[in-house]
Amino acid sequence: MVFNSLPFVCFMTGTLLLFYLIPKKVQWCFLLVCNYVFYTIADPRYLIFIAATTVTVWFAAIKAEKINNEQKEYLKAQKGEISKADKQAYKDKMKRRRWKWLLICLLLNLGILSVTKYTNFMIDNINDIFSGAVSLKPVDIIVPMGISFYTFQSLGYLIDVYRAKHEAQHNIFKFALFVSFFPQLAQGPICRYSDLAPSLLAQHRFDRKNFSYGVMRILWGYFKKVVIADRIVTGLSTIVGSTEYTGAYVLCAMFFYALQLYCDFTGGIDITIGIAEAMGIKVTENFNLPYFSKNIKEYWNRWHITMGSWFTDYIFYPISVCSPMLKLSKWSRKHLPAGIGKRVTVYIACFVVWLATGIWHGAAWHFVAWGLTNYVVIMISQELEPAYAKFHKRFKVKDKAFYTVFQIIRTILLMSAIRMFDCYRDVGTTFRMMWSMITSFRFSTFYDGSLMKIGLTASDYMILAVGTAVVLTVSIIKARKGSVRDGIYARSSIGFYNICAVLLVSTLVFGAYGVGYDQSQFIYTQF
Amino acid sequence: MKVKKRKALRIISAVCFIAFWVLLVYFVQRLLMPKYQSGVVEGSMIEEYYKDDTKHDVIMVGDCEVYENISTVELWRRYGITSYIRGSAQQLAWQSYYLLEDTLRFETPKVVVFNVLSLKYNEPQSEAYNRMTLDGMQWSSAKVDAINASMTKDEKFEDYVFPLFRYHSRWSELEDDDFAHLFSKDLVTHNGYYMRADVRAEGEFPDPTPLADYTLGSNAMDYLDRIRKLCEENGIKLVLMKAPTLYPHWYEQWDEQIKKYSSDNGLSYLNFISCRDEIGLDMSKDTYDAGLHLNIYGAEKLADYFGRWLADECKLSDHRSDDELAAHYGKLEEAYDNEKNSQLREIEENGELISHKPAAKKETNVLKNFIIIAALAVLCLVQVGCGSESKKETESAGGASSSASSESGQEKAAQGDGFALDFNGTQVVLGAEMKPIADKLGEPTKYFESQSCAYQGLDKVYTYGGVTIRTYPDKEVDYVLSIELKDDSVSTAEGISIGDAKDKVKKAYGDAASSTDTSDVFEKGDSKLSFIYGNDGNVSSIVYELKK
Repeated sequence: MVFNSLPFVCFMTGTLLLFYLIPKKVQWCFLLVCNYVFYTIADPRYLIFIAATTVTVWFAAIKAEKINNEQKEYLKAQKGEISKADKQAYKDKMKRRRWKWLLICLLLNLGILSVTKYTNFMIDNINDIFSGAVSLKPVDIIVPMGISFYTFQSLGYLIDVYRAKHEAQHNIFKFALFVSFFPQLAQGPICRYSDLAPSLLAQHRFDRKNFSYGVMRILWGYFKKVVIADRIVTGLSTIVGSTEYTGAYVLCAMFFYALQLYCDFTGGIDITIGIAEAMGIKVTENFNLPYFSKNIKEYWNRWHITMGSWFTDYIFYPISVCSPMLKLSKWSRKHLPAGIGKRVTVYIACFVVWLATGIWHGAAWHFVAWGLTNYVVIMISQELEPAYAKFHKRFKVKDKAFYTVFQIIRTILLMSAIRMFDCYRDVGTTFRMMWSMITSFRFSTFYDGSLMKIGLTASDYMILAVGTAVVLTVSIIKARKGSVRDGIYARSSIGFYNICAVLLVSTLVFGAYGVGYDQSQFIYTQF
Repeated sequence: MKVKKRKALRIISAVCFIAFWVLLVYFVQRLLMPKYQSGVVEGSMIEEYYKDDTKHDVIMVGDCEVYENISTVELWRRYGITSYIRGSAQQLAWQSYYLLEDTLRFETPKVVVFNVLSLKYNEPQSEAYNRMTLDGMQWSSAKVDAINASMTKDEKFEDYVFPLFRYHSRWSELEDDDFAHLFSKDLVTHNGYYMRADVRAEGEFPDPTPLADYTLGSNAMDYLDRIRKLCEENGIKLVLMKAPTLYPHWYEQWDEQIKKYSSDNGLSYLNFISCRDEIGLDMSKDTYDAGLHLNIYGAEKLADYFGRWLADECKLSDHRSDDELAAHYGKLEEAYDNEKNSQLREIEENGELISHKPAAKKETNVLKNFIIIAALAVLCLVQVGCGSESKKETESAGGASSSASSESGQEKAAQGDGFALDFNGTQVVLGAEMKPIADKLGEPTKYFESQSCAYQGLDKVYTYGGVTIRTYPDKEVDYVLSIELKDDSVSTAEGISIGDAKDKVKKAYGDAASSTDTSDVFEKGDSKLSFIYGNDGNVSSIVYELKK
């Protein structure tokens, strides 16, 4: 059931209405049923995978919590009676016991994720490495919808329980609801248990404002997805579908993809958050105007925020503070030049994070190249920070509007260029096409009618231009004045509902859907 | 008390708000739906029936071979027979069945006439034709069933329930007709008969393509049987007919099957092809499109002939003495004569019927239409936001039209997973766009084109020596439909040519997907390759075609 399909719209509407009609006590049970119905409709075989993750993580978390509690009680009972060394030895022993459960569960779930997502990638690489000598056949294996998202969300919960950040959920059905919440199942965000569970498991009375806010956000998401992202995809796929489109076409593809990905992903997240909001459930924000970022580091703090923070909390920090790294840090500070010595561990941890980010996005080398390019650019920009500081000391442009605009454009261009790996889905082709922008850039492509022959008509361009202007205006208002919805609602509630209706009608009339259009899946559901 | 009042006010506002937006969406939907009032008028035919509240002795169902070839007014004038043609472009057998079911909700005629050409189609064909037939039907279980039976794989039921989903992208193609006929439409037929008064003599038709299997499809025949049973249950005499036109080709083998079916079930079957002379048809004058359909002169002759048969064989009464009916048909005759005269005047002035030609793709003002639609939305927003109830403004605005598929043409381009023929250094791929292929192959030795029903483009036949390529149109682009090898100058990629033995075919292609004594059919992707064997057991014909 694709988000932008009529069956999903009916499912969503039915869920929202019934949610408030049933007794509040059973709202969470109802949601759980809805989640599993949603997943079963997608493919009943997926249930085995999500059930396996739910049960194993729930069980391991209970075990970890039990050991934590045991430790707490023991230490409380023994307070002042055991030596510091014995206390530490006891703690280490209990940590090993907790770690054992954590490790088993991590290996099992990451194993499922790896087997389903990466088996064929491995087979392809083995065949390539032993070209001719080995010829393994690809395996016909299903990749459960949203497996990366729900696996990461569940493992995040387990690690937090392991770290005693919060209590474990003892009711397996309530935990199953946290793992399978249907709006976020397909493309995230990757929520933390402490953020999502309280409102997810709470009882909700109908709140007109909440509901209206949610509906407006859903409509806004559909507008971005159906009117902009799905319309531009025709032109984009024509360009990236053939290596004949070089030079200026590649630049167009860069911008087209930047716009498509933004509207597709943020549109999907808007629908997710909107559905939750309409039920009074708070789902973590995943974007914060990423195209207004002044550098790549800031961009990654604003784009797919929940994924970034997941990698930071559960990969970057553990790697940075593990004992081999601490030893390495000590050694490098002693033996390497001061500037580099203290950052060696950061380089390594960041490398692992970006490599993992690339692979998480997909089982292909272009994703690895994409992740590592991000890593290289971020590292270079960090190394250049002293030079930037000198520049800003000499030229007082840092707070000037033109310089901010320059930084924003620079970041957009850089990120768009890096994304071309994802766009062309082949490292060699990406380099060749990018090179063609230098060697065979034909400026006339922009005005000689060439762009009318890539599957987009004058009306398509017009819709895209107006749609983009609307999105940009809303973003600017949000950046300057905060929540746009608050502003509209405070002025006039009837105006608020009319804007909802205009969004709906605009999407129905100007959306790219129906006969001749493929109902395109949201890009991030493939991850 | 105050709280109660406020609550009531809130409810009233909510109801007004919802009502206003539902009305607006309905209005936009009406605006965007094609009106079929000029150029392609076939989409208006089905709904016109509901405007006629008289009963009819004869109901005819079928495709253009009915609605263009039999003048209902002439049937009245000559024999006092009341009749209506529930015809539509490329009407398929199951659509005829459900249209008949729909008709029986309103009346029970004495005779139902069904044109058999549509039996050659065994599965859904084209979304555009489906819409022309189904959109005009009133909602009933017959319409629901008709939609379910007719949908191609890309179609969705909800698009019929909410036509806005289908026609939303017509906003950039809106024309004057869309505004002028927003809520009312002019009649485009005369009791279902579509009149043409121009003349274009019958020409030469391409040779019929040999078929591997001449059996009429089971699905289509099943619906014919259902039509028969429905007629039986309602005491209606069913008459099968084949129009007197020669193209598209009506194979002898098909004719035999219909004859057998008719005699097995005690039905009358009139194949008018065999009695063209008896009817008095002069195909140099009685057709308007080189022999595909009859013009008014031919349609009147056929009506005379058929009317006599109906009066004699079906014992239909002459209603001309019925004052009420006479008055009704008098008006119909007047409209009929007026249109005929108007068409003749136009032909005299312009040398042709320009008003009935397919509308050339007009340069629609995209910007204007966009502004109209956007302004419509903003206007409503502002007005409702200000608490104004005025809705009249919106009624004069709007823009519309249908091009739901900028992609579909491209997607259809080369389909690499099917059969292809290498010919004169050019690869001819089934389903591929014909223009680049035609450019490479150069001038054909013979060329034929025929307008497909309701102006959905031209069906073209290119002959290059021993190779015949047929195309089908889709959204102004022609695609390769079939390739026929007619002599041994060309061989297939696997080296088979006309005259080769059956064994050689088996050796080259392996086991066939379906095989008979006289044919072997191989399938690959969306295409099939048929080898047809002559009496000597050798290949007599090779046909590549898209599975459709």
